Amino acid sequence: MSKELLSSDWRLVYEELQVEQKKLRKNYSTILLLANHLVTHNSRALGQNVWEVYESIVLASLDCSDYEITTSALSKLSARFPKSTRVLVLKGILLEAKGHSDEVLELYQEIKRNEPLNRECRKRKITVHKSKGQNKMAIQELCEYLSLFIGDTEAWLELCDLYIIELDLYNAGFCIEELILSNPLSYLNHLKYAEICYTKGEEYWDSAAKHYTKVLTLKPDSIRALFGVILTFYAIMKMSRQNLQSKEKRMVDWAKCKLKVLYRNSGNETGCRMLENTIQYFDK
Amino acid sequence: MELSVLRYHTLCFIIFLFTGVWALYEEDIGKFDWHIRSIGPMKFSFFDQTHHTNRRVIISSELSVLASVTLRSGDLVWRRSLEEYRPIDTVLYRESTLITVSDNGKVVRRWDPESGHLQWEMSSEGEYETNESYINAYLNETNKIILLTSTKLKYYSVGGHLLIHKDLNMEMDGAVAFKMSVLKSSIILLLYNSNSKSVNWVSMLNSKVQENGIIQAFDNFREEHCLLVGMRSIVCLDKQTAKFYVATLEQSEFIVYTLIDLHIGPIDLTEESCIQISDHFSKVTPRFYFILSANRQFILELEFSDNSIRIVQSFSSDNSLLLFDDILENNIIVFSLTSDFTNLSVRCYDLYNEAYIDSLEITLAMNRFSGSPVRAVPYLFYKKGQSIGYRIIVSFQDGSFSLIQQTGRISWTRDEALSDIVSAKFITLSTTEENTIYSSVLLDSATSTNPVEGFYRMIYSQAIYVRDRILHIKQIILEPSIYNETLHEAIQPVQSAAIFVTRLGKVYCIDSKSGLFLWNLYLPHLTGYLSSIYEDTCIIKLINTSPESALVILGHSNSPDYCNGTVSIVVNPLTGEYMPNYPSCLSYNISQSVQLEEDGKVVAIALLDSDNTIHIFPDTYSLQPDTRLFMYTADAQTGEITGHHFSTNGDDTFKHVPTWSFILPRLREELVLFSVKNSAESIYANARVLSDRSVLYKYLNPHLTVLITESRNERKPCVYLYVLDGVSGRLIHQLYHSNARSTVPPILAENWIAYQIINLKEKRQEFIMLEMYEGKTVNNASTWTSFANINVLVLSRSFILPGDLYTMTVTSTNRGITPKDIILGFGNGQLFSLPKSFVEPKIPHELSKSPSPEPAKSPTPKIPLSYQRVINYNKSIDRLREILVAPAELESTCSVLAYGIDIFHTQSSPSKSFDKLAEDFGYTLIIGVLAVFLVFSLVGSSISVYRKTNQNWC
Repeated sequence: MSKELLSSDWRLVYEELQVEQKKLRKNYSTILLLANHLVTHNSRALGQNVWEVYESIVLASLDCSDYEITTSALSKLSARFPKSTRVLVLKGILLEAKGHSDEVLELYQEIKRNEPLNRECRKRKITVHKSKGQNKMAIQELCEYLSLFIGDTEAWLELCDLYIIELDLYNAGFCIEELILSNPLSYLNHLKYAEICYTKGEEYWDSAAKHYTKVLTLKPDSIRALFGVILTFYAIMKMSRQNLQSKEKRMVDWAKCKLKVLYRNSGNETGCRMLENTIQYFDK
Repeated sequence: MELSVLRYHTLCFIIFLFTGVWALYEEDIGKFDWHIRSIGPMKFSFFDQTHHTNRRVIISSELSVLASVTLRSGDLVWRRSLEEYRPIDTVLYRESTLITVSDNGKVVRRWDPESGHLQWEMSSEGEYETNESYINAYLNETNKIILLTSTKLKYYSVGGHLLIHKDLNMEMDGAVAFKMSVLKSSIILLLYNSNSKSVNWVSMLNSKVQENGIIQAFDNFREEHCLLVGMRSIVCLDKQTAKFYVATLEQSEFIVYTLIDLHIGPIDLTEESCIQISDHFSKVTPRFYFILSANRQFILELEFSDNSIRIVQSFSSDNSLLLFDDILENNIIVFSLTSDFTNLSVRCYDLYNEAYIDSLEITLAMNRFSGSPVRAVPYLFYKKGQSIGYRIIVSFQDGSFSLIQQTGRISWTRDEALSDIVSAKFITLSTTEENTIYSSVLLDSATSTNPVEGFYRMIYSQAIYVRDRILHIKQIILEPSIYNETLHEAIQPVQSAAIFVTRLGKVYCIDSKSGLFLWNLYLPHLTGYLSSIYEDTCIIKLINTSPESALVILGHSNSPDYCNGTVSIVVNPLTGEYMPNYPSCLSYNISQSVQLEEDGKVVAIALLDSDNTIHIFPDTYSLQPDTRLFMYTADAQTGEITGHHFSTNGDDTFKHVPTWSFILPRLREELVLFSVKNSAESIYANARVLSDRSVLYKYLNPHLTVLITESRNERKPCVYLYVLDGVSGRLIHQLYHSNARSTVPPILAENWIAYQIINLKEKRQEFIMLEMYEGKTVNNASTWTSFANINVLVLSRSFILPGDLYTMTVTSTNRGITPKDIILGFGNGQLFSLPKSFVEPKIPHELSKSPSPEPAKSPTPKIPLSYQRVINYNKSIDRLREILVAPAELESTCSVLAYGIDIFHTQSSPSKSFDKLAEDFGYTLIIGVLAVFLVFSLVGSSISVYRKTNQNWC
């Protein structure tokens, strides 16, 4: 495929490169091939777009651990943009790849001092901390970052995950609350929040139940939420020792029926059997 | 000292105040229009010698036009067009006195030869009987005008007073005057008494009768074949017996001479045979011309002693021969002009010495075919070395006249055939092959429905045009020999030309944009078809045959020897060259014609002859298998309009079925005018929106015909109007006006009819507009059929026309979007362009539910004719006959061509030039600004990309 493509018009190659870069699972070797071809043969035709292609070369070559190409591309970029932070960050990524984490942190600290609003550099710094296992430092940096860029929902989610790792469920819940406020119709945020609430303890089961049901209104066939409903309401029933005819019982029964229907419809027989076992386990 | 300086400054200041002030739009004069002024075929001519520096020739034409042209170039100095119904009998000229006698001696006028102003006019209308005929008029040396008509003798002074008025009829006992000879103050009159068959002669001196006598006439006596020779002898020619009868006034009987006595005959006389005398002869010698035939003529001399005749000189030629003479002191020189169409030769015969003057003989080549010479007027003068010189004005059969110099050169030629046009038509010419493509692309772009495609085609055609121009210029530079006078044709891509067929048989093709003559042809046998209602017309059609189109002109033949039926001329419309393989004579007379079209192009003409048989012209054209033709013919004598239907029987013959006939009450009415709708007219909107937002559909029948008839009862003049459908013969509308006459052909366009009547009761002209509507629903939405029964709603309104309307027409544009103007041609030669919306009928209240009445542009009953609407400004058209209209290339404009004696062409823009850039449009400015914008945008875009990249990376 690539040979034919490479021999064709450069515009098609460029288009293919952009398509490849937009994929969630990037094939970095292809990207590297295409980008290298473009840079060697059509650098003039690309005009000012050539620098972005170099950047993709840098990232792709790092992924392929071909540091020679990375350094040559980086030298091109730094020659063209000597004062560019973006290039510095790329250099930092190279250092990261090589494992010089302390130098990288110094570099990032330097950039942060010069350009406090550079998100790229701050994010890289957080990842470096995270990769080093310095979760506390990462949380501190992330909090600092979020105080500047409050609308970055991915950062909130990352912070939430970090808190969960550190078992700081109250702060994790707060992060998810922020996310729910920013996007109230996303069932995932509700689900995560409900799970956090369920984990926090019996004081929060009511709100967990509320959020599980909210998930079910937003996405009626959410298996995870249905299991959550069953668990939460059993827990509430156990705690309050209510009779079996209460509304919680009805809710649990409804969730069980719904689960059975969903499993049956999926046609997975082992799944169905396992569900039966699980439900029996719950009932005990 | 200071005061004088101040004065000087003030003077300078005042001088600076005087700047040129020009009239508005003077630069537009002649830019879009051209004007040809004609005189007409020459009848009388005089050399005006009063101006030594600026010599002129005074010319009177057969169209009763008096004019003066410069001797140097033949340019018109002044022109006076006299009444057409009062032909000029004679023109007298002597030393700055110019007299015209018109209408059988009833009107005598004196003109200023320098400016052409009328000095005085004596009219004796009413006191003459109708059978009065003009005989002769003299302007004698004592500056008295002696005018003889058949019963009266009048003396006028040059100051314009009637000095003597003699009624000869009373004095001479019923004798009618037929000849007069004047020598200074004495005159001799000849009168013929048909009762006693005798010739009376009267000799007068200063209008007092001195002597008189009676001579007994011979058997075949004819007044027009008699001459009074030398103030004392009568010479008559008896054409039947070919004998001369001679008598002196003292004798009582004629003496007979046969042609054999003169050693001429025995020979039969022809129609042309006659005897003539020149004014110059009568004063000096008793000599006269004897014209035996067109190419054999004699000068004869009468011996007073024994009344014998001898031949002074005989002239003969193989070709046409013309004799004329002039006097210089006592030298009478007789010129003989012979012409074989390619060469003219002039010989001079000295009558005193009875010998040819060889030194004055010239021969010159004619570079055009003009027919034989008809008249010639010489002028003799002494040159510097006391030798004799001369100039001759020769008029030819084709109406042109030329000035011939003694050096053997034609100084100038005036082509006057255009003064009497039989038919005219606009045609579209495409000069070269590339231009044909260009025009077809342009046409496609005009007709394409998609605006983007249309725009593309327009640009494409312009590109082709630019390429052709570059190629053309390259050709001129590389091969200058090819570059010739036809450059004009090559430059203009699509030419609209006007074809004129004149009464004298000349065909002209004139570029309608510039007024240049592209070609002309002289066809002596061609005249127009005599239509009983209108004057003669010819059929002029452009047919698109491959590879090139052909111009077909069909007309009546005036000579049965040449062609008994229809003369057909097929020429190349670009060059005027005859196309081979076409007949020059058709053996039938045409009563109707229809053009046959293929893909919107005229490819052949179907001609209906007087026996209702269809002929296809050209006969090589193969008919479509299922051709159906509808025609109708009108006969003004019987008042019958007949519709015909023709269908092919599978082969090339047509089956004729008379479909309908419409018979006018012949004893009551007389068909005077009719008009046919132009079925090729393009119509933009088929409905009219009323003010209450409802729609009124127009009645757009393409086969409409309007007939206007007048009552035959003289005491009750009436105008009847009939609107007929030409296919079904259905009478769509009819109305009548009492106490009225109609003289102008009605206009039919879209859904309206405009016509003029002369209201005899109110003594004014009226203009009436009829609009036809189908109503609020549309009946023939997809296809038109004449047989559908539609109730036509006719709205009408009449207006007072403040002027003497001669003719009118309506403008038409390419796609009919532009509102129409009615072009009114008035008797004073002005063309008014009147918007049709000014003369629209009011919409009745029942049709429009709107609370406010329909807006009318013209609330007054009088048509508002402001002089800003005159489209030919001061270039008036004398004796306006017809206005032709053709769509121009641009939608907003249309070509208007009006002709009478003069021809005027202009471009009319009824809605102003909405699709044309203004004349002072700043092309350089807009191109400069565009270029600057282009450069800025290019530079700016690259700078912005650079900056954006830097912004992204730094």
